Amino acid sequence: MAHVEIKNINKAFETGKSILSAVSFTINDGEFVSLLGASGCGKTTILRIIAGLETADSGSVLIDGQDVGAASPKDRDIAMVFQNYALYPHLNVRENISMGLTLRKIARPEISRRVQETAALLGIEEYLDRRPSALSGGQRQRVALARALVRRPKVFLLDEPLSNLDALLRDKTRSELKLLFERVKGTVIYVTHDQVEAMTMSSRIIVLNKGRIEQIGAPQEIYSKPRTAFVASFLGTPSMNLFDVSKAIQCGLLSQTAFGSKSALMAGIRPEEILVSQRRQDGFVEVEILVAEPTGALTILTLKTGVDLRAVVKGSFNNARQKIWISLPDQHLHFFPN
Amino acid sequence: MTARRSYWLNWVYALPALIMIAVVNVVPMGQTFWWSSGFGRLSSDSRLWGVLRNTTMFTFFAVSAELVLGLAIALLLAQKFYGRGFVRAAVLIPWALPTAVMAMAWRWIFNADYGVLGDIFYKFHLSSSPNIPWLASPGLAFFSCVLADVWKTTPFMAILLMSGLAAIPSELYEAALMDGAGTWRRFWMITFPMLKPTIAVAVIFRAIQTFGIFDLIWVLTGGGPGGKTQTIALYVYDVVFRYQELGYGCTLTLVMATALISFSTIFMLLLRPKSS
Ligand SMILES: Nc1ncnc2c1ncn2[C@@H]1O[C@H](COP(=O)(O)OP(=O)(O)O)[C@@H](O)[C@H]1O
Ligand SMILES: [Mg+2]
Repeated sequence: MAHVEIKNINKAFETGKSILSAVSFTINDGEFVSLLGASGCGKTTILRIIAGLETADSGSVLIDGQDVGAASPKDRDIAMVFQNYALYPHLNVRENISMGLTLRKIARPEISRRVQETAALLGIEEYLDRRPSALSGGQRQRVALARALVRRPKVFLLDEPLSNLDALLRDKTRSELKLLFERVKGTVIYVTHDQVEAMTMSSRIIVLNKGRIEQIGAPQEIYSKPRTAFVASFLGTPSMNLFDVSKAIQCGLLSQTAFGSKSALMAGIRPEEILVSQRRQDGFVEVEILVAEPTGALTILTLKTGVDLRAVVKGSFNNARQKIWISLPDQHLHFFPN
Repeated sequence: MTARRSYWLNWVYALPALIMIAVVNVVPMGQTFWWSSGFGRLSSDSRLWGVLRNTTMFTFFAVSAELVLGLAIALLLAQKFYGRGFVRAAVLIPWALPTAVMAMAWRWIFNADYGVLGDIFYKFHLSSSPNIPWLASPGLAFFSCVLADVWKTTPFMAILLMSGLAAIPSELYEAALMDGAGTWRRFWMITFPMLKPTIAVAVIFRAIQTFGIFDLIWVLTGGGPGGKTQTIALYVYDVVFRYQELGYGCTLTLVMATALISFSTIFMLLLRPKSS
């Protein structure tokens, strides 16, 4: 188990087209950290640089304080679970799992013991003699995990391991994965574009946008104190409302006296923090409902105001008049430079 | 448009091509069967067995050498290096040349009096004299023909294999790299098994072509010396045009077709992907 330090990594595949800029972060021993960002923002590239499959233009990767920049992938003692699993199609599951040990010249009895143990941990003992082509997506994903776990590496790199599973299996596997890595006390860097995965699984989240780190913090911290408008809009469903303070003042949602000094900024409020009333109330503004989308437990209301605004109310929502009164509580407002 | 009408229309569109194929393929094939005679002669034809052995040996040596060289070239050209596009195009040149033209060039190269190959052997002290009878010596002529054929058709093999290599996901190699597999291990664990279907197609294709080889050998040796390089296509030519025995020539053609069909079947069965 190990401590990973990424220092000021820069990468461009073509000159002038920067893919990663000044990426730095630290992962503590036994920590489960998510790299969260939209597709194409450079998450996989970061993992590949840590694994040694790609070289950074500048910056360094330290594992347990040692610069591994010159070490080949096999000498870094890192295991990676690839997004499409990358199982060897012509080897059976047992051979797939044990290959990393066989090539490291581990004794045969030890290998078979560890393969058996790991297969049991992941519930894939029945499939050990099958080829990957005879497995379902979920089973393949387990084999890929087993191949990483069996090596007991210092660091696990997981590249969107759940993205190829269907929604139901994904929800189930998410919690299993979390337990699994808690059990083996693994140091994990988990790449995902799914905010729910990042929020539920990790002790810290690194939010990435176009090759730059936007914010690093615990899930709750990132959710409640987003440092940038990007982070604010990336986490939470439906996403945070973002609008110009000046426009909100114009249409009466915010008061000139309280927020006039902030009129150059951008404001944000989560849909669930907007107060909604069916009757006229003091300090509330009357707005028209454009769309009401019931999702079961909640209904999402898209409102017609001077700014784009969505609010969330509990349960189903019946309002024939298509009118409600809303208020934006001061304490739930976030402000970002515009 | 109804499905039925479009079905008939498809046939109408295909008709010109079908007529062409019928005229140039089906009719001659039918005629071959119709004209063939003298099947009893096959067993007593002492030339035939030598010719079949020549053809099989030629096919075996040429296609094996092509496969090994073609694979090596394909693996090299799959690497990224400066000027790869140019090298890829250059490698194709031998294949693009008309056979008769390149065979003439090889006749010069092989010439016993002024050929460059003998000279190279002499300069590197591999031979005591520059005058080596590459095409006239019974021991050498066969392999000289194989060499010229390999030179011409290796690029084709390389191109086919390169397309097969391109279809192997790079993550597999990266996973192997992290598992600690060296170059050799990666080849046998990933490249070769995943390339097998492509190899099968390429070898069958090339073997069928090589088994029927005529033009290259016709220009280089004409089948000589002493029938040492006579393949079945040259023998059929001799039987039909020199000895004017059309019926027996047709029979030999059928023998050749049978040999090819059995070879392809056996090879396909051997390389059939194992179902798990
Ligand atoms: N080998 C490569 N050559 C050129 N561009 C690449 C290469 N690998 C990745 N990229 C580019 O780098 C960017 C980030 O890719 P990636 O790290 O795979 O993103 P993510 O995993 O976050 O979806 C993308 O725009 C991608 O096109
Ligand atoms: Mg990716």
